[in-house]
Amino acid sequence: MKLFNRTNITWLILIILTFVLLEIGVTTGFTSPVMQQTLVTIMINIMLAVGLNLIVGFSGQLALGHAGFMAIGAYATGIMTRQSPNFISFILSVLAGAVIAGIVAFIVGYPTLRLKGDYLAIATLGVAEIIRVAILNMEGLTNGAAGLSGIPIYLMNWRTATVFTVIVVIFVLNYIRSSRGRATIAVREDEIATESLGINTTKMKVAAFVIGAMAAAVAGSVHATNLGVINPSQFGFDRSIDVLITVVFGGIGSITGSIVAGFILGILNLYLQQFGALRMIIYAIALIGIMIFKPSGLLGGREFSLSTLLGREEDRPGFIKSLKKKD
Amino acid sequence: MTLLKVNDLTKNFGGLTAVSNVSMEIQEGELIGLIGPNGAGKTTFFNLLTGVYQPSEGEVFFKVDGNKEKIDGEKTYNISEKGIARTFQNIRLFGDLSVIDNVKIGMHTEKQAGLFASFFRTPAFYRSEEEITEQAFHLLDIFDLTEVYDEKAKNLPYGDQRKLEIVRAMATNPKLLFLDEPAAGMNPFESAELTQLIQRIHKEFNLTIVLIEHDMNVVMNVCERIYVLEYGRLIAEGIPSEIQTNDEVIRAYLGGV
Repeated sequence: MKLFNRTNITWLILIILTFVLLEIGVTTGFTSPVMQQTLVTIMINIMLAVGLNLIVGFSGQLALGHAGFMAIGAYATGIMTRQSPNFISFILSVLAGAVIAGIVAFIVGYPTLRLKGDYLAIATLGVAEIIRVAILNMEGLTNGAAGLSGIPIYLMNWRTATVFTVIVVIFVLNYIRSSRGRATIAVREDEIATESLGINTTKMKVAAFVIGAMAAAVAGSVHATNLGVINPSQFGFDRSIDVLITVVFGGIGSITGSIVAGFILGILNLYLQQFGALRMIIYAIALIGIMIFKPSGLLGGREFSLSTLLGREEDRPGFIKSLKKKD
Repeated sequence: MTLLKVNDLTKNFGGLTAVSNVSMEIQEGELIGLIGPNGAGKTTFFNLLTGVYQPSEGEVFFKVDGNKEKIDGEKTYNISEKGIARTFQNIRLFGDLSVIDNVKIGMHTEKQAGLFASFFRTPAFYRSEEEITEQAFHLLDIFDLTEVYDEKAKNLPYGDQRKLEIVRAMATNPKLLFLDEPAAGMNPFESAELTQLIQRIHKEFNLTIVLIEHDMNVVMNVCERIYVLEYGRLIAEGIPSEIQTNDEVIRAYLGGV
């Protein structure tokens, strides 16, 4: 089994070790409830950013409607867990939310992803607004503007949020590092050349859009059970922009960057709470600083690679023995 | 056996007729040259055949394994999947990707792991990735690009970029290959090397090739038959020695007699 190579096992150990450390922190009281709460928020932002990065950074399509798909996941979970507040129904609601978001993304993606650049951005903006207004008006199901309250928050804690995030990130990474992922990046690089190689570029763009939307829906589900109260105004335009900021901050086309940016911006937000109104100014200055000194984002297009760090190139998929460097 | 048949192909851009009533018939295994002065419509003609532009009039038939198919007006990726590959006059590599990835992307439609296999990294996924790498290296080897497999495509010297475009087109496993000025910007030594490579892939893969080229050394040396375009019209057709002495062609290139 190639899957259980040294790099992947090291990853697994690292993830478990982080988990254990956090768990020790919680029992000893080092990791305060506020920190745990921040961790969940960070995980939500990471899932959103990684999903959007697949669309913006890898398929190269500027989409601005990520909050809409997040809303679908949040409401799916809100509605289902209020009906039967248990963990199984929560898991089912996450899946349901992701599937519905995927279907919606497919339906709106097919016509809109033929548009380019600014036009696509406006179109996806419109889609998010349609989703929000639809939720606002389906009062029987969603309770309209007042939103849903009393969503069982005991279903969510930092452990569950982290597990979901790890799964989402692994799925997105596995997609990017497959043949389809390469074809998706090719679309970003040169559409005409990609088509000349027999690749249906619209299909690749829609696929990336659908997977990104599904990741956003999972984030929405975690968000709903984290807050316990959801209403349409949480999923407005500024939410989509927040996600885009995280992606740009970390580096367009770098999943590592999205994760790092999720952590940095999350922690920054936490520590800036005490400055009140100054918070948004400092936050904005940090963003402007990044754009001036590192316009391609914290990591540019680079990724952290454990196999490179360990010198285990043979653990990468597609490695063949003759490829081993001569030195 | 006829591989490609073009009937009265015409393309109008507004009032300008870039390609006008061009007909041609290409046999399997031929190596054809397409020449003509600048602006004669050679690249437009390629773009029409590969679906980048839709023809205004005329038909194109492509015959593979005995199935004759009408391909004019088809989508570019459908045409490519039927077995027609091409390179571009202004190089269109995936610049930020490595050399080997450029070739692997060319193989996407031929060989890919399923969605489930990719998500869960099943043994089938690893197997298909290994096969893809192996074949990509085999192709790079022919063009002597194995050494630079890890480089970003945009960092390659110009001549190598041209070669990589051919490798990438070859990766789609085509029956018919269009080369748009493959020797442009190459020095005499490089273009001589390229000439040999073109002849080699022509024989080794039993590939039918049509090439646009301004370098007459390349054209006259490798092409079995030559078509000449001027102002979108076909003005001559024949073997190299005929074309060299054709009055119409001389007039088109050197001006009125």
